[in-house]
Amino acid sequence: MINRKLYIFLLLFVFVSCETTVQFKGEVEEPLPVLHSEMVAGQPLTAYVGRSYFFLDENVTDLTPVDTNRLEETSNHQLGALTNAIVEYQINSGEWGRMSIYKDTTDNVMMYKAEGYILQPGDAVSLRATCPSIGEVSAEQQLPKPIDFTISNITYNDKAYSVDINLLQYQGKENEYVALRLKVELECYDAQDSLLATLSPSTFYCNDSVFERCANLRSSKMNYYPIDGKYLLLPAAVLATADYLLHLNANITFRSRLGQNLKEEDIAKCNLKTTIKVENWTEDTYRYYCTKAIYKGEYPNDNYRDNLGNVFDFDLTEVASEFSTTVSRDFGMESGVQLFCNINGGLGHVTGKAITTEEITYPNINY
Amino acid sequence: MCKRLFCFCFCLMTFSFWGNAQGITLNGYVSDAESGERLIGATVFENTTSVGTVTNNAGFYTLTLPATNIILTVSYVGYETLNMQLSVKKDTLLNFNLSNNAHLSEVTVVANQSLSSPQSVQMSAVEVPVQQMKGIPALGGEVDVLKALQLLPGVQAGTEGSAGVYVRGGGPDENLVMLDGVPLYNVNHMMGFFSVFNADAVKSLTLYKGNFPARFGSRLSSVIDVRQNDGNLQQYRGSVTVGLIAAKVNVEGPIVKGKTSFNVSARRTYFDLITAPIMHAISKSEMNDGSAAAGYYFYDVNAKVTHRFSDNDKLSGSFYIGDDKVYVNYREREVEGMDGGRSKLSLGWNWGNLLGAVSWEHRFSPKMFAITQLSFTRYRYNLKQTLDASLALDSTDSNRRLNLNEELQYRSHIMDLVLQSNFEFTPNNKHNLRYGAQYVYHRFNPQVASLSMFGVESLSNGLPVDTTLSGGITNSHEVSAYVEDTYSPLWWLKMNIGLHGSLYAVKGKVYPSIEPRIGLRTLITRDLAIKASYSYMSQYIHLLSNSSVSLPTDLWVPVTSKIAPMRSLQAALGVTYNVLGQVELSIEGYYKFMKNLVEYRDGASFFGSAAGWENKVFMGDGWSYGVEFLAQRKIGKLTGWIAYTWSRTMRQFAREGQVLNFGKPFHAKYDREHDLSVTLSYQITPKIDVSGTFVFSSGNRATLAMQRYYDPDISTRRHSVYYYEERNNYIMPNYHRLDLGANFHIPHHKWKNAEHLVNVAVYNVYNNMNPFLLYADEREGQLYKITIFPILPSLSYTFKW
Repeated sequence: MINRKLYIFLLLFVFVSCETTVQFKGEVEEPLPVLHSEMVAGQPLTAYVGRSYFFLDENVTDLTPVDTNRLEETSNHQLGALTNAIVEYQINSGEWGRMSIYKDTTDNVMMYKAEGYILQPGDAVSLRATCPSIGEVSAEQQLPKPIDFTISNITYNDKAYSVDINLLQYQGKENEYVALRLKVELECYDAQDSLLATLSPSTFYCNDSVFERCANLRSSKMNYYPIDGKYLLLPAAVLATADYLLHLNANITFRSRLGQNLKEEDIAKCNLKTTIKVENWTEDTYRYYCTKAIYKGEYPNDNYRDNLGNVFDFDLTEVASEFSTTVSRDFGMESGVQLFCNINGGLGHVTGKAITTEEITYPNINY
Repeated sequence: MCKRLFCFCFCLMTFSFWGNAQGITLNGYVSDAESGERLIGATVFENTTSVGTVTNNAGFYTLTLPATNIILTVSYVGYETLNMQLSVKKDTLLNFNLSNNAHLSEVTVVANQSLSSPQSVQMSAVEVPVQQMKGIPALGGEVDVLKALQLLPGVQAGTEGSAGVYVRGGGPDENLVMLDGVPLYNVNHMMGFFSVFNADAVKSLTLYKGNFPARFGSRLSSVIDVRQNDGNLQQYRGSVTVGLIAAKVNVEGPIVKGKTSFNVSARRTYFDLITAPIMHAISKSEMNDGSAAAGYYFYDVNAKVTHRFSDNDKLSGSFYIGDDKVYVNYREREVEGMDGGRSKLSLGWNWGNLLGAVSWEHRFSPKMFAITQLSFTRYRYNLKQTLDASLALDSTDSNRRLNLNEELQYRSHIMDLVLQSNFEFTPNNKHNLRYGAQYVYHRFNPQVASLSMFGVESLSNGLPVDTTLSGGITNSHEVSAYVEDTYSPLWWLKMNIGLHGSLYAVKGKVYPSIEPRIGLRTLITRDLAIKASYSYMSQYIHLLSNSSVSLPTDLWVPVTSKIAPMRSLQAALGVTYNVLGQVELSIEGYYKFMKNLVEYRDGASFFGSAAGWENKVFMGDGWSYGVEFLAQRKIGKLTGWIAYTWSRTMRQFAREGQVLNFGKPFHAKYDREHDLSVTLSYQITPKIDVSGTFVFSSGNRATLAMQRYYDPDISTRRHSVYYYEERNNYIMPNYHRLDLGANFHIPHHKWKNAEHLVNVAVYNVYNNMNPFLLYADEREGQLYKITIFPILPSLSYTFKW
């Protein structure tokens, strides 16, 4: 019987793997100015201005992507936000105006805002930022116009759901994309018309061509990526000459909460509420969202070359590949994702979109 | 220009085809005197007329001579040269048996006609004698023929230790690897650290990097032609080897003496047997009440049976099976934190090739020979995970339990059925005509994933689930035909002109391809030649893989209506010089352009999924150019080669909607500017030989994000995002390594032909920490490299009889 210590020693000797440091050979790159702005028609014009860091700069440890434990300590300095930048905007080739700094309470980040101006559909917006000792950046974006639509023929009977969404004819700029989001909820009321509960679908199996692949999804996947998190995407060019009618058939089962805080005898009626948002994206917005989705590991099923496709669609095996891919990416075995960038002289993105929302309720359904 | 040249050569050849057919024709086989094994590439040379030829893959030669008194020299590397004077008056079948002399001292192979010699029209091809390969020090002592190829010029290795082969800027899927003429799809074991070829079963290995003869098609970058031993026709021989990694056995012998032979080789690793006691100890100490077992091993079996009906007919059957297997079994009788909980998890993962072929070789006449083959090849992987769990729902009621059965399975396979006929006709010494046709039925089932979950008590989120996802079976048909002629109008001029045509039909779409091939050789002196070549190639299948290591889950898929076939054009110019019949020197420059290459979109993954794969790839172009130098000595006490390559390989993906790297050209991952290897073996005494390999190459390329910044839309948790300015923008540290080995041959004291062979080798002698991969730790502001093979001694023992 071989001595156990000797056995382990031999094994370690044979299968040892070594990790050592490597001297970085190359130029340490200077920081670049960063500009981000997501413009939505009907909302104020805001922008983030910051700087980048050399990837081996150990002084900005809180930017490390795996460090989630010290979020509260993260300061704007570490985020690279620049509070001393001169940020200006121009609407439809008019006068340049200066944006003022403010603190965004949602993300607790210093941002810049065009005071008193609400973005309008079709606005051509130019932004420029002068960042002391770092450089100057600029970007342009023209906001698209909203897509109008109507909802009709909603039915729900014994889990079978259908709806017609008619996207009205639209002539916009080249390479705009229409993104559609759908949310179906069941609102249950008592005899006094008080809302008892809002139920979300637990399964959503559909067989419509536009959502064809969602039939392959596990129910648990649907919970994790709920219906209202999924986009249907099609080029706006399909609306150039005529309306576009989407007929969606689905099989929906709502998550039962009976026996928990919801008693069947208390329910007097349930209404089926369908909320539909149609977003019109500029080409830059589309390209940024695509690379963003890939960057975040949400591999898109992008059929845009065939005019139809569900960008944020997943299948089971891709979920299984998550671990492998993460390992590949973290250890440099896979090429990194190049995020879309449309900033002159720096990094970041400036995007634009217009959103139309419709809500319709189908009353007194038997679920 | 190429078309005109092609037409001119074609006319010239046609006019001369039936002329000069006077004389007698010698034909026959060159074999090993002891075993009867036919020798591929042996030289048969007539001294008075200076006319020579080499044996084909069947060991057959044909030589038309004007004189009746002839002086013949028959030679082959590692064998004693045979000289004879004959008087022949009519066409004669003349077989030669050469004596193996592994301990041959300094000799000269007269008028060597091997592929890399100045006499041959072929360029960009290398034959490495198997005995020479076996002498090369190997990782873990396990001799690997594909790793030996990595030491040749124009061939790049993949990551450290892997058997990946990257030829002249092409990817690993662009190599046509054939075992006895049958394509193999997965040529790797153990994630690419070892190839599927058991060196004991291999008779010959030839690598074509360019100047592809018209008989080859369907891949862009290389043809690796591996031939198995037929087996000893005279006596039973064999060997048993025990090494650190694997044990193997090889047995060959006659079934009917002189007529029928067999050759069987088998190999198995024993990692699982080594790790089993450790796994057992860990499971005992870490688990309260349960067991765990896990392991990995691979095995392969090569077999060949050959029957010679006569000198006119030979029938042979080849068989190969090889599998890698991973298994994990985990059983808990008491699940922690759950009273009365039990679970059993098992994972089985196996992948491998199955290959079978029946070949019929027929000599129609002294001038015409044919090989017809029916073959089958299949690669498949199967991953299956099952979970059986039982949890108590109510601690007071033991009957209220949730029983959960989950089964997750991924399967994939590719299968080919191939029927091919190849004819060789030599009307006179100026022409050697080859023609043939092939039909391949491809069946792709690149992904079947199924998940079933059943519970006795339904969970709220929708159990049970029984789902099967499938990329669908795709059948495709490939028909090809070729004709090529090696034509020698003048003593100093030789050319190989060929045409390869193919049709590929898949899902109602048919892709045609006409591929001209030209090779020219001009002799300046008897030992100095200038060679030039042009090849056009097409490839109809792709390998989906997004890792730099070879994974069994890499998927082969056919071209589709959206993804067009890959094409390549390659031109090369070179000089070959034979120094005193001892050393072959060659220097070659090449330029290769590749069209419709497939790269993964940023971040796309194919791990186990071919669904929608067309939308995860982009098509683009690539080009590679370089200069290769080779000095090779195959005979004598000191053998080996020095190879150096300077090369550049680029990619560009700038088609509309298919942009990578902002449309700018970028370096391929394995674009290494300098690549040097020195491989030498020296026979100190007949009982001791030593060998060494030194390798130096520029580092692989990696993609490093040089900047990081905050993006409020992505950095929802204040993570930074990375700015990748360019793909493969960083060159990893240079790679270099020295391996040394020694073989000790100890004759058996009783059995005459038996010997003990002890191999001692050290991989990476000076323990250089070569990078396997790089990663950055931003918190420390430091780059790290991981090395997987530091200094690695090995020892193996072989008993041969």
